[in-house]
Amino acid sequence: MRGKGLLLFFFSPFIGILAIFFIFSTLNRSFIQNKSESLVREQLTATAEIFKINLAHLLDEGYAPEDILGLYEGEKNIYYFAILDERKNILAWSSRYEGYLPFSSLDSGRTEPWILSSPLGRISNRLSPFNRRDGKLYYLYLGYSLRSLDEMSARSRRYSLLMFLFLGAVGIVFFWGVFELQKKYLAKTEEAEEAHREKERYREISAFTSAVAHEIKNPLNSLSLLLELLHGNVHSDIKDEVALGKAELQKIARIIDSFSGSLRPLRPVKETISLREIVADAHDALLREAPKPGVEWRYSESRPVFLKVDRNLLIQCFLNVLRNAYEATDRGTVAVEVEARRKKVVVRVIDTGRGIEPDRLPRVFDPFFTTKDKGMGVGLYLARKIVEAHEGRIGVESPPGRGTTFTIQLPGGGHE
Amino acid sequence: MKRLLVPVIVACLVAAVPAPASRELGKQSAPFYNVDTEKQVEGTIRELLFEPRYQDKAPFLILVIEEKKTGEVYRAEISPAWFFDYDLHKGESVRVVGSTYAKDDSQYLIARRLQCGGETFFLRDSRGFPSWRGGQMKRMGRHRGRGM
Repeated sequence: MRGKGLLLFFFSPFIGILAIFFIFSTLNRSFIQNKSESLVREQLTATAEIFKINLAHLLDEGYAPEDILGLYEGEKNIYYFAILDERKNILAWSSRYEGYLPFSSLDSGRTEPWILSSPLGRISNRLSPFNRRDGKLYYLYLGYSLRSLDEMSARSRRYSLLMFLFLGAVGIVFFWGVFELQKKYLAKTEEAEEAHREKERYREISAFTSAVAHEIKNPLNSLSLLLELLHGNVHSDIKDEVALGKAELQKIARIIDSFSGSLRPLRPVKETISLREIVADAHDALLREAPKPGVEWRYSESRPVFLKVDRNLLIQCFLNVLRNAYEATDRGTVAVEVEARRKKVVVRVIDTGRGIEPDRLPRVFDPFFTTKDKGMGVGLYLARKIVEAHEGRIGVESPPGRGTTFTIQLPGGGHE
Repeated sequence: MKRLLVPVIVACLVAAVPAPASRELGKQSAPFYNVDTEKQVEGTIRELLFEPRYQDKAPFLILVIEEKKTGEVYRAEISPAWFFDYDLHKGESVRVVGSTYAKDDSQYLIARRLQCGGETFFLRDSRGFPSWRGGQMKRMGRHRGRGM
């Protein structure tokens, strides 16, 4: 909506400017054309007057009208002219075009110039009287070409149209650019606002969780100590129950640690380390935790990769992702493929397990989202946090029936 | 014999080549296309001629036509020979619209439109402007001609 508003805000005035330009240009051309036609009329009048004076003089001298015609030549804009008697019968005529003298009985009554169309453009015609010295009346009929004027008008129209199209095209490109920039800017702003809101929410959750964890852990510690004391002093019949109670308390403490730890901001302490080593450490830790004999493990890399990362955080990250892969795969393969590109490393953790439902896929990195009975929904969230703390990206794909692929992109990855 | 032949060939070639558009007004001895005297003549071609009609211009194709109804003979001026490339024959029926005039007891016609053999040739526009000087010559709805 804001984009549309901006478009209208800029585009409407531009259309207005174009319309004004078009109107002004049309009026201007019309004015120039009228002015030019008026000048041509004046020129034709002047030419006719000169012709008439000369013709009258030559007729006075006794020249026959047909002999006079040959004396007038060279005026390139005059297409034809004729000398008529007092009854407007043509005595002699001359034309640049064979047999072309468009004078008819309908024209004999004209006193004002008139315009004819011809394949070569418009022709201004004029019929005007003149007298010999003895008072005998003659008429001069002149056809004056307006071709230059028409060409000038056509050229002017062409240039105006070209200018109009050019301005239109430039304007459209410009405003399209502005609109696109605005769209990008709005999208970025929206993203930034969303990220800010999310940070703010997690900061609040984190603070709240830390406070709750702190408040719970103090009595838990006291309880734990109490059970420890009890364990030493109680009757042997209930020692096991006390030990179980203590273990459950420790479990609660671990859960609280895990929650508060996952919400704490990460501050990676980076060192250069082999990626193969990180993945191997994570994998070994996972197998120690829960061995999976039915699952085949594979690791491949396009070339040895060394990254400047926080070793412990990244081991934690791969541990979480690999745990997810192993837990989803009862029988099959879990593979890690490392592809080193120019300025980044792409790590794919591929399993042939049961996959993730398409409707759940967008939420797998959300905190506390889980589909498992025993999970807390922290592992993949933490993995994303760790990757993002290293300025990387993590994504997931799970085509139905073809397992799941987690793709982790991390910057760097040069040889060492 | 050879001495005579060469100038004759040259003269023929010069006559056949279209005259360039003159930038000057030429003195006209022939009558002009007068719309007041326009009429239609329907008849048979008795003769085909090439005659010079306008000063410093290429020869024109002239058709001697005998009008069917009256038997009157018209000398119809068609167009410069180089412009008209359709084959006409003696005895062929034609219909010509043009401006008429009389001279030396003969009837003349400056053709504007010629119809023959199911085809129509527009030789001049309605005010007599020649098609070979920038207009268009249409035949059976198609554009034709080599106007300058």
